[in-house]
Amino acid sequence: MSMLWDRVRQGQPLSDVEVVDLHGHLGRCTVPAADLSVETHIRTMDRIGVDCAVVSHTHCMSWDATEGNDEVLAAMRAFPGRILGYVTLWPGDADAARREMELRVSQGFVGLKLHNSNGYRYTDPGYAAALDLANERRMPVLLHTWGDAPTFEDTRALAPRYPEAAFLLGHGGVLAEETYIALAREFTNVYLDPTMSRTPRGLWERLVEAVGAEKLTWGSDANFYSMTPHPGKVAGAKISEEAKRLILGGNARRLLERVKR
Amino acid sequence: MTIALFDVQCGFGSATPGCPELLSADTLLGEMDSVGVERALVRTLPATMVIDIPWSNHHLFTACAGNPRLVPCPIVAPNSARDLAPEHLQLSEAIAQGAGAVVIRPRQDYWSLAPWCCDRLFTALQTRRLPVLCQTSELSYEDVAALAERYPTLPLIIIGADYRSQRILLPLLEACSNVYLSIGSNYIVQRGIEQCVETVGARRLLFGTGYPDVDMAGHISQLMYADISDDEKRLIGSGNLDRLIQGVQR
Repeated sequence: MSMLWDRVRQGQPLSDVEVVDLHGHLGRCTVPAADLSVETHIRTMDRIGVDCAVVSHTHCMSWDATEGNDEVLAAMRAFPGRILGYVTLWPGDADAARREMELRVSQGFVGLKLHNSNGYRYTDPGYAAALDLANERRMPVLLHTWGDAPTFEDTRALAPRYPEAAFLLGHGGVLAEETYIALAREFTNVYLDPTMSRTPRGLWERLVEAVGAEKLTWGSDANFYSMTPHPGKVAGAKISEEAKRLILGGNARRLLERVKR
Repeated sequence: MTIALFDVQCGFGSATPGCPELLSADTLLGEMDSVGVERALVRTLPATMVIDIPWSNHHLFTACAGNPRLVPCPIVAPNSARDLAPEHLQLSEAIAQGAGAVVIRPRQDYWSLAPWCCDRLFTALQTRRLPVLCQTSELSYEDVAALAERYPTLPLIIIGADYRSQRILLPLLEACSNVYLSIGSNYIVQRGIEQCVETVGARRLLFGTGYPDVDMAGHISQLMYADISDDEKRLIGSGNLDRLIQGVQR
């Protein structure tokens, strides 16, 4: 089928293409997993040939973002260049959220991850300072979305307000496919990250056709679930080899290189 | 080195209600060719649109006839309402048509797992050692465990387990040695394959995909990048299903 798929089918690392996981996690959540260590995460990346994972802590779904960011920072320092960090925030205290964002950016975090399971809209004033800074630094901002109207409304509000930030719509396209496609077409700084446990058959092909490979990023959502199925979903898709390279890492590298450090 | 793959969890028909694309057995074979799956245990899908058991089974047998890469997995049900063939004849027909396993759908086909309703069916299945696919949307894990205890030499294969289920699946596999697990959709547990292999051994896992609901490639990737030995991958990839099918009393 293709060189990349042949690698996957043989269980060989994707060593001759850059692979960047733009949707990773560290930390525990309600889903059971026996081994959540960073060392194991790195070993899995090595088996697959993932060069770098940008991770947020699962506490992005809770109120205690600070300790989660500390754990991510420790992983960044233990594995420089292999683990990069998204800042996560609790927006209930806007001033504290601003200070936390400033601190983490100074420590080398490269993006912002927001999750609405904390009950806050992405347009909440508690996030405004962090989004201002993300825009100033031209960072990727990964939004958890699930085909729901409020996150679509928020994306329509935020993308033009913060034109230098790159908004990655997590799980983008797995539900309400047409709406996600419309958003990615409408805003130059909106990208789709269609990671999902049960990716619908043919989704990658439809998204490449609809928005172009340049607007798609690859993520695993590990360790929420396993990283191992996700490279095959792209490598095995019926799209060009060049499109696979862009999705697996080329687009991510471009987005990370434009971040002002 | 390529690991041979025998998909325990796939089929043809349609992906979901409302999906305009109908998928033939040839479409399935084309997908298998494109990603390197040698054989498949196949059903007609989706289950909710397969409403006529005898017609569906006939359609399945016809589509698989003459193609050794497609092994049929027909639907069986108790003849408790006297509307189907007697249980032993359902199994004789399935085996004569080359079935490698059967699938049960107690919820969709409106029957009870209580012995007074289905013991004749399961006793016949156990006698024939014909593996039974147990879809999680049709049977609870507690149902599977109860069946496994009642019919301890009958292989029961769980399909459709999801990535949140490891706290239940692992003790179930430990408690019931005749229960097997498909690693197809939506079982993508973080190090789940590795943990199952360490706990109950590779002989209890079966390669599966979930096609046509999902593409085959993701679940192939999951097995190929699992942190287990090539011998364990061979067992999971095809060896275990081959062994179960060879055990059918024909």
